[in-house]
Amino acid sequence: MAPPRRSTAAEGPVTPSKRLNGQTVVGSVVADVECRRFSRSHVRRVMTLVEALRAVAPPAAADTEAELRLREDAFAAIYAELHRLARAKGASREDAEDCASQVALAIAAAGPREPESCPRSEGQARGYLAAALRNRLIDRYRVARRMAIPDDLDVFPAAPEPEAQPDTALAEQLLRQAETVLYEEAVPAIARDARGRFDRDGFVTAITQLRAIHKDNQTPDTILLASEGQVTSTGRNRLYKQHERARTRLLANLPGWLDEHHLPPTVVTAVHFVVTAQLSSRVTSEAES
Amino acid sequence: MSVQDFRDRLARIGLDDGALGVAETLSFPAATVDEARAPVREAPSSDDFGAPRGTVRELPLAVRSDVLGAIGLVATLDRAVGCLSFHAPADLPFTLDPPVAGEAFTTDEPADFLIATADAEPLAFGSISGSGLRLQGLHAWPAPPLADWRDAAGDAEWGILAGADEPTVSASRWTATLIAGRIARLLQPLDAPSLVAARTWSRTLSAGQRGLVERFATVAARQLTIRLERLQATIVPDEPGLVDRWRALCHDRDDLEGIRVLLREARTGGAVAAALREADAVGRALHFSWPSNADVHDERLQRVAEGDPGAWWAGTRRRAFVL
Repeated sequence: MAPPRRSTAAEGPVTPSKRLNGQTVVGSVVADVECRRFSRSHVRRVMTLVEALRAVAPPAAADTEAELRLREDAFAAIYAELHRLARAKGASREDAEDCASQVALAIAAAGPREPESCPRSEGQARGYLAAALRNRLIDRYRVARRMAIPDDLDVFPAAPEPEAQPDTALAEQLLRQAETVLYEEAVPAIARDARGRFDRDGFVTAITQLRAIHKDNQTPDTILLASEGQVTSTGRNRLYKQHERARTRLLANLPGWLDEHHLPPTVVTAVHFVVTAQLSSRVTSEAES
Repeated sequence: MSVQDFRDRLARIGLDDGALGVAETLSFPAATVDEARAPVREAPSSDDFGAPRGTVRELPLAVRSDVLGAIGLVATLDRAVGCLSFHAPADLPFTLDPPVAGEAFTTDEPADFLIATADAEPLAFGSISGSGLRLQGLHAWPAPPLADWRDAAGDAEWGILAGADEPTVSASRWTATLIAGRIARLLQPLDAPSLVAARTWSRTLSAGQRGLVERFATVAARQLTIRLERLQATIVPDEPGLVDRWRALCHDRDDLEGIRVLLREARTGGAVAAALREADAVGRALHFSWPSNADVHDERLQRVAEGDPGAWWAGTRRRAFVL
């Protein structure tokens, strides 16, 4: 099968996403941004990104005509959003098309997904696609230095107006709100239910330390030095286990806490982003350094 | 039923010798070994197992079998009464052919039998002799046409997706099926005909054969959960071999994702998806706290990261997207 087709200037600009009931919908007219091999003449159904991620899979493997159309529409919606994200990060038209088509193909090849393993909101879905794009950019583009890598704020998944350029002030405001919800409300509430060896204070202390590692350039060794006056292998392992238990407790309890409190979807998405960006462990590879 | 009889039976339903999996022979413990092992003894007052009140009698021994483990069965050997019995969780039912009362054999009498699913799809062939139990696993579905796909994919792609398993491909139908799952998701270019062919291959299997594939995958997913929980309980950042251990878990999880996709393309696979959700809850927590000094990355895992940023098994260089 031929590689993705690049659109030309004569084909006009990328069809923008649309807003419907607060959700991004793409796909009523996407012929100028989609890959030729998935082109069909049928009228495309309007599809949210959540629906698209649940349905997408290689169209050529569809077993019915209806399934084929569903997969094509899902692919088109995902491609359009990836293209928009890449362009928003400053990619040239050609780079954006290359990158969006490759990532869209990879996302399609991983499907069909189980509904429980898919993003549950449009904000989450955009974040999911941004993460996929970033994963590709890091290994394929940064090494080649063809394109700058967006930092975490640039790929902030809850940008309130996807058609416009990202509004940094609004995104930062949402980020602060999410941090308040997480650290001042959710973490203390989850700590109140902590029992056994890992008690309330231990959980809160560990989360505070993890946040400091992210925010204040602290390291586990500086934390050990401050608390115990020395760094030992045993101390490192103990601190790691404390942090590991805190993260596990947070992951297990946060979704339920968020569901109970009926927060706006953008805030929930932002809280997920903060947890991922600030509290998760991460290995820095040579390719990224 | 001899092995040859069974081969003939497989041939009649269109399966070749490749469906025969690993064979193992488990010797019944002799008395001297029995004493050395010092099996657990029940309280003298109990007579639940038929021993006279006041006597001491050993409890049934658990049979350690890779073949049984792969199909979700356990067996116990009660030497006091010479009884070998088979058990399985309620959601993994099985039958014996020929039927045996209580799914229990007398070890004093030779027997050949087939372990099958509730739908009579064969899982393993067994025989009891005076010296012990012989079991041979079965993967009773047609082989995916890997040779065709390999030619189309080229050596480089084949090396990434099947290289490590190359020596065992011809020996194991299960391994061949796992490779089909990798090709169905990770073969590049991502619109290669072989990727589509692997997905449509799963639809050529009968419902019973897909049920067999799902059973093996479901059992493997539950075993993966146990391995992940074990690692979570014992992990320390400077543990030797941690990188290799995690890489193996990631690859095994990815293999099961391939099976899930193959089954999903055939509109089935709910059981394995449910089992994988349990494994993923543990895997995600482990990945979230992964030691920053243990770098696990390779080309295959990079491909996983690009297609599914929520996949915890996509190496350690990316933050898995928290869903």
